[in-house]
Amino acid sequence: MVRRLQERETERVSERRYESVCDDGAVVLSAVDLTKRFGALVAVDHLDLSVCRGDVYGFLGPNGAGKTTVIRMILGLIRPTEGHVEVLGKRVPGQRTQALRHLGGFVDDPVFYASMSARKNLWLLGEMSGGTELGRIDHVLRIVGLAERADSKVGSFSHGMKQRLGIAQALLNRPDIVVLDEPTSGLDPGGMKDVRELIRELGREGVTVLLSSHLLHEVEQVCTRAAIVNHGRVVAEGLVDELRPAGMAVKFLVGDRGAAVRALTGLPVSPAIADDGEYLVAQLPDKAVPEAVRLLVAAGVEVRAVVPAPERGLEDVFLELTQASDATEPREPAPRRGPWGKVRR
Amino acid sequence: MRLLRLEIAKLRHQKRTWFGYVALSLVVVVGTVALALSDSWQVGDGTLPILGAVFDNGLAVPIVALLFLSPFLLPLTAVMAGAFTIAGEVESGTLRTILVRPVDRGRLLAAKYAVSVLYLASAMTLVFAVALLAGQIAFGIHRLEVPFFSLSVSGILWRTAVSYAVCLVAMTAVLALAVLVSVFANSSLTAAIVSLVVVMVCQVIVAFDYFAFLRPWLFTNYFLSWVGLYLHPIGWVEIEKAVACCLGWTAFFATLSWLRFRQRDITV
Repeated sequence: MVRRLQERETERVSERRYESVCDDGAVVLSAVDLTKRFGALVAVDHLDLSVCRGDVYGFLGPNGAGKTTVIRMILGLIRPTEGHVEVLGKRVPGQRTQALRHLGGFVDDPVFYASMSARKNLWLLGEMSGGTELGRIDHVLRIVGLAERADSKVGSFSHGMKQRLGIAQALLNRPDIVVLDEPTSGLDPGGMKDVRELIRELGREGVTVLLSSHLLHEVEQVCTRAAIVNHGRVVAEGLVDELRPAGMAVKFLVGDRGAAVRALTGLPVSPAIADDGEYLVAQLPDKAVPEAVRLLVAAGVEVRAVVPAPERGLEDVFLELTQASDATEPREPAPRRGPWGKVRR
Repeated sequence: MRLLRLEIAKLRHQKRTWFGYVALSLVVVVGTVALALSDSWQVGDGTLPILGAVFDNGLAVPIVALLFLSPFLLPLTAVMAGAFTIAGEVESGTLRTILVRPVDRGRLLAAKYAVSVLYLASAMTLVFAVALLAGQIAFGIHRLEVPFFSLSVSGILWRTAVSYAVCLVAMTAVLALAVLVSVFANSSLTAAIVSLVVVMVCQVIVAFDYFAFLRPWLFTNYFLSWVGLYLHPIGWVEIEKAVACCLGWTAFFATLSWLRFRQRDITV
């Protein structure tokens, strides 16, 4: 039963993948048939995604799902084996330099020159993008709360401060699209709250944000749209509100479960049903609950209790989808890396 | 030019830059003090008569310094400078910070290579200046008179300057080799060790007569080719061969480095 629920969810999301994703057609960042192989290991497998202008786009997936590899391909750090990334009409890797003029961001932990001050690091990185006025450097340092440490050497910074500096450098050249890989990693709760608010603020200002995160509640709080990735493939993509299960979950305590399942499948919209061992858990639109009870009674099923189940969130969908694809595919071992950077199996 | 300026700014902030300068200067000063305190020391095998003046003329000190630094310490400096260009930045993680900026990889590599050559050139200029200063203090500077050889101060200075330049050309081939290894490696230490091993193997090959047919083609054969400047007449043919061979290897290594770096996946 649980399996059936997962299959339905996957079907529902898969159908949506092929629909037009942006209301105004303004796709600013897309991955087309993106594939990356390291020897026999397929890290990213024909992945497609589209980020619309103004999206705060969550990129979710378990460890080893291929998120960071995708981010690296978007930022031109690694070359796709097949497919390409398109940033405002510029292809990566073919037009990497032009595409990167529209992007700001970081992947993994942001790293800076330890012997230079925060201000000097930002100056250096700004110059690499064609130059940045000193006022802008001070401005981004203020945004991330590092203005007072602007002249301290980065070597003396904590992990959280480096993370903030990473966000500052991402914003430095006023990019159209900001790509952030786990930006709240290592921050204290106050810092996390500040960064999330900052990301929301960027979204309100019209900056498109691609946020890679394993924190589901973070994506739920901050993002407007999201993709769930597993084994290098997008298993779900859409508006965060749409990705949450539709309707409410209702638990039925019944006598004959088989008869109850048959009766419930007679509803006009056949619900996803799971058996948790004690209850049958059905996903139903609110107004379908009385009709479900009527059908059960009419089928002679003894209905002992009808209980609203705790609300399901993105986390449930995430677990269902990633576990479903885990069950169908053998998991590849994590790549090991030699001193020459070669991936070994 | 912008990238070149930024690479110079980075070089100035690295402690190893200044350690390198101090170490090379120290070697020269210690060597000069040892020369000044010694009175029975044989320099070379007698093929360079000019070295006979080392105990009474400070102008010979930069030449002796180059003679002792060319076979190992200068190649080591070149290897370290080259090994850090890419592998050092990969190791520290800063390469990915740079490469998410709209920077052309070829230009970045060219800037890094140019700054490494600049570092090597400045280090050798410093050696020259320190040796000259130490030589003046220890022995004084005056016209150089040895059997079969007589040179004015300006005459010996331009020959010394050219000899440093010829040696620099040979060292840029070593540097280019280290840059090539560096674009493959994730660790600067690995890159440095591999480059040094290649240089040492080539030096061993040069030392054996059995491999004499390889000598004209190996850049390590020309580390001391500058001594031709102190022969009479000057051995220009050998110097020209040395410059051509070293520049050829430099171009070959640089091209391979560029091809590899353009395609390299930054996964660290």
